[in-house]
Amino acid sequence: MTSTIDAVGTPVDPGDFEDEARAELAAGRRRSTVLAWTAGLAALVAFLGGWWLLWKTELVNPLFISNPVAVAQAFWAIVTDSSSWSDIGATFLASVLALVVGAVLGVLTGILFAASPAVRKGLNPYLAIINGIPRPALAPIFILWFGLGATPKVIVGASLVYFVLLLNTLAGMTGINDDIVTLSRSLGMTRRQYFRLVQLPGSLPSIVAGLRLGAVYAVLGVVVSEIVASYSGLGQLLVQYTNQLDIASSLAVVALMSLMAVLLDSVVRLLQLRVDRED
Amino acid sequence: MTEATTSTRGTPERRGAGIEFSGIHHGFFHGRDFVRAVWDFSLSIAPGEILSVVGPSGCGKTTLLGMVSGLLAPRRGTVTVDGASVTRPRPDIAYMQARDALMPWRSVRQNVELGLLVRGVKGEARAAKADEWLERVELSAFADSRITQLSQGMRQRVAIARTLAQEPRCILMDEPFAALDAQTRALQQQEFLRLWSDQGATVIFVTHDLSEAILLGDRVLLMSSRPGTVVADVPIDIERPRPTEVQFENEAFLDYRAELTAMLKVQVDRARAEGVVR
Repeated sequence: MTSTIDAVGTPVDPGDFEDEARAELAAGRRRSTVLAWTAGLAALVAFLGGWWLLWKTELVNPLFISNPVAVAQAFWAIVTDSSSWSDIGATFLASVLALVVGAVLGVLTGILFAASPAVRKGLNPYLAIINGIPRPALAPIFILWFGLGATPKVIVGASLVYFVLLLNTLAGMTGINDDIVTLSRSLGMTRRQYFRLVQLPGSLPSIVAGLRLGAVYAVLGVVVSEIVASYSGLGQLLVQYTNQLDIASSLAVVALMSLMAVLLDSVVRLLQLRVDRED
Repeated sequence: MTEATTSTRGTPERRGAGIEFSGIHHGFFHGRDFVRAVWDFSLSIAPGEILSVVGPSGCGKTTLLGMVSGLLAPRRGTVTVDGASVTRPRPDIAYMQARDALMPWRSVRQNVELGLLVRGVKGEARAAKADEWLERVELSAFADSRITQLSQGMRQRVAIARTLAQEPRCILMDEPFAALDAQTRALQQQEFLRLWSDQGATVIFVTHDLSEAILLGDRVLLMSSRPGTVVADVPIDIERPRPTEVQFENEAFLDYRAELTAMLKVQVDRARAEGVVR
């Protein structure tokens, strides 16, 4: 190992120097990981502890807020009860369908709008109005039309997903960097080449971001529709428990709904990671 | 002089194209006002010539490039490349902008391949050609890298490789080095000249920088601002190759620069007085 002499005259070993810098970097990373875990755990403990205290001290009517242990037990009871799995399955299936149908239609409309500014201009006012409708308000009407099966809840979920994907696709496709647009034109790309080589890959990150948002909206739409009326599903289960004043089970069902949205989101996230890697 | 140098450029089967502007008049709307961008403009550019175009902002430099590239049609007059009127973008006319316009979703190699891909060159041949150009710009090691991993100078070299891989007979450059720092810019200018001298394409080089215009050009065209017309057309009689130092040491270079600077100043002052340039 070669040594160099620094300004004061003490020999500096480049190897030691590098090791020292590396150790500092590693220590910094460790510190931030520890901090993150501490913050996470502290928040969890504060939340559960505070909840438990509220229940224990009866500051709030214990019947209304239940307690963490009872909710955990209720959660376990629901997931181990085979009859509730038909509800879980119904909600999950409807959410996936809502996401897929809404996303496909939304992306296709986005592509159409990106291709034709005239069509976009002409239809924009209607879309603004339709998007302005609080979609859950349509649930009772859809149920009247399509009955208590999966159809109305899929439609409510899909109608939420649709607009998210439409707007994200459109933003991605029309937001291509001007220089890239000019280059593509100067290369004499055909419309099809421009779509395949520029618009589609260029808007993919934006579409996938829309899908992640859509995953949450799909579950939201389905559950709201189920709450209004449905043969089966977590929304119905929630209504039953709440009517029986079984707060622990109600909260357990809410947790299940959240887990479902998180699961769907994670699947989309895997897709996003793949897209990012290909960039 | 111009004749002698241009005739030796490139290989006989890969020569630059002759470009001819005749009676060009063009304008566009700027807000509610109609602006005469280029007025009564005629010019011919010899095959293999590098024409530098300088002038104040808004003198229609970019408009002229747009016309040769087929991106926009003049309202009056014609632009011909090798005698054929330009009506749409052609694969043998390459356009290079100030920013590199690299596509972040394509790898370095895929970006270089772009022009060939659009033209329908098949996979193997395309990759081979791209690799050959990446080697020439000394970026072979980065062929499979993502664009975002490159420095600004490297990105511009990828853009040069992408432009030249098209084997254009005509290259339109719109301030291609304007976004680079002084050091990188000097390197890129030399790099471009070196690569260009093998190909011998005709070049129209738009720039704000007089030194760059003289260093690169066989001719420097000085334009007035709105409407854009030719103020001076100065042949640059300095031997090639022209290394960076020419700018500081060559007497002729300094004379050209003094002469053109004086003329440009008149134009810029005029443009400013008319409120075209702020």
